Amino acid sequence: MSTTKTTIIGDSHTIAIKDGFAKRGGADLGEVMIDRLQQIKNGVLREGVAESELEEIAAAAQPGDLIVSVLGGNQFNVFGLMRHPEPFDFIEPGDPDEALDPEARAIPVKIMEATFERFVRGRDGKLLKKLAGGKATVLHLEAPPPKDDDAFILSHAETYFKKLDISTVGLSKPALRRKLWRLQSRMTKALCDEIGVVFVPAPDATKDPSGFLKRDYYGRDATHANAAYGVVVLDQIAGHPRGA
Amino acid sequence: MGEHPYRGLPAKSFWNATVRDAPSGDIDPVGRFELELSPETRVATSGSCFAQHIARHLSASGLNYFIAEDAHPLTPRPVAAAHQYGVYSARFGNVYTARQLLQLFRRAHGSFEPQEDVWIESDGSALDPFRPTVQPGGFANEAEMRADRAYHLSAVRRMFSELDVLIFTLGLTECWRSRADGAVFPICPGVSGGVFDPALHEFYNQTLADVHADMSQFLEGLRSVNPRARVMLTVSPVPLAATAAAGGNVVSATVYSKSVLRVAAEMLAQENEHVQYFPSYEIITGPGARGAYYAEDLRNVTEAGVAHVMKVFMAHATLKSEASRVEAIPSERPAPQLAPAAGAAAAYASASQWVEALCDEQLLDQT
Repeated sequence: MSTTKTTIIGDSHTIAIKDGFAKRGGADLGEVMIDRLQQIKNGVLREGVAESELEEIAAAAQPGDLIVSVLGGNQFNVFGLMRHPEPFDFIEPGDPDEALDPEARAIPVKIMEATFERFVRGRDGKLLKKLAGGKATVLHLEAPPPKDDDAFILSHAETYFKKLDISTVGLSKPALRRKLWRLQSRMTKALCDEIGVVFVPAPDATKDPSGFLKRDYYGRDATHANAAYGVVVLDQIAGHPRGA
Repeated sequence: MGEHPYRGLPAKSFWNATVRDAPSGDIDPVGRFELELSPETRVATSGSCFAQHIARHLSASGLNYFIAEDAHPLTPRPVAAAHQYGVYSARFGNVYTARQLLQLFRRAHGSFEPQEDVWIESDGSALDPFRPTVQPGGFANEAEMRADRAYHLSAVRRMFSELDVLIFTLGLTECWRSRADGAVFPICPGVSGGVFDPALHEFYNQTLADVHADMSQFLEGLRSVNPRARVMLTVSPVPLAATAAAGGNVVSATVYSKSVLRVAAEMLAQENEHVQYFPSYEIITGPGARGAYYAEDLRNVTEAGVAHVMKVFMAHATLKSEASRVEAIPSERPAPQLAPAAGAAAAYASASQWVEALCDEQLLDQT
């Protein structure tokens, strides 16, 4: 009897899961492979899974295997972590904060949806489709929730944000960051539903009552989670039913 | 042969020189026209669906097409375009009638607040009754609609106060209005949102006196907020999609409507030094075009027709000293054919041969 496999592939949010695996182990996950996609950064190739390999991975997977996508996930941060010179807000259905910021321009949510649909169905959506359609069950992990600690974000911002002078520009309001995360998740889930991928929400245990990432799960920078988060997510994956 | 008043008149005064002997694509029906635009002149547009073509060409011409209300900068351009940003100078959708324009001005400046000011659809979405098609799928709820409208009306105020030239295309005389306060809707309630209720809504066909009065009041209002503003009026050559006049026929109703609008435009241009009339209507509908500027549905205007209008407009409205600074409109389409093309069905199938503007009024034919 062959061992089932769990293949976890994605972008930067994969790091928390890899670190979590190092702490937790994965006997209940079968044969585990966790890797990031190849990326060229500052002219240097960072080794990993080539995009061209995704279809082969999907084709080689057997019933009972899991393929877990951690693709993308940070678009909402790129879009709205920093305060925009023309502050904006929108109504996200189901968000606890239903009021619009009176000091910001209200963007109709349909416009926000159309905007994020382009993000979600762009590079990430195309890659996710390559993973779907095989014999394995394919999961896509929701991005970790946003952080609400402005001081932490400003003091731990990634180079990308520092280059944009985040400390001078400042942050968007936490409520907006949460709306953007929820919007991105909603649009991503819609894509997953279409292509037969299971959208896996961020674990409730990692969220505070307002829906932000609990401090215990903060990673070392403004947008990522840590190994403890990875552990909880791996528990989530291990508990997910596998196809026969 | 003695002297008479026709001797010495310019060629444009004579039919043979202006129409019979001119290449079809070069016919120029402009009479008095004293508007000059430089690349710095802020040109705003509004009007019926034909005005969209003018706006589109202005934005590509090197002239200063004044967008007072654009999408948020984070919105990708295709998304913005799909939500009608940039179609006109603000996101007001088509403004078909003189009353609509006057009403827009009054609403923007707080002197008129229509009673029926939101439509809640069966799926819970909200529509702005005065621009029901600008937001595909509607607004999430009433609060979102009101927030967007507040922003919109502030942009409209800015447009009126900062524009140098307003190009307004008069489209219709027929309208639907609220029995409660006379507020006019761009399209009959129930067609693209809202619910038609004969107890609340009534049909009205504006008279020449109505159009003249509404436009005069608008011009007065515009002057009060922007004394330097100049106005160029055109009449849309697009026929009515439907008439609601009792016992009416859409062909006769079209002639009535366009006649009223054309006469009103002439009167307004003669009465107001800062108002000009530009004959786009004549270019498209005139015998010189031999009907070739209409698409196969005999209603929509072809791209060639629009290009002809804009070529003539640019020739007259661009400062001669500035000509080199303003790109000429590229002639993307051939001149109109002098006889109806054979294989018209094939031409009809080619959407590139004609231009479908976002014309709410067309929805009338789909109900």
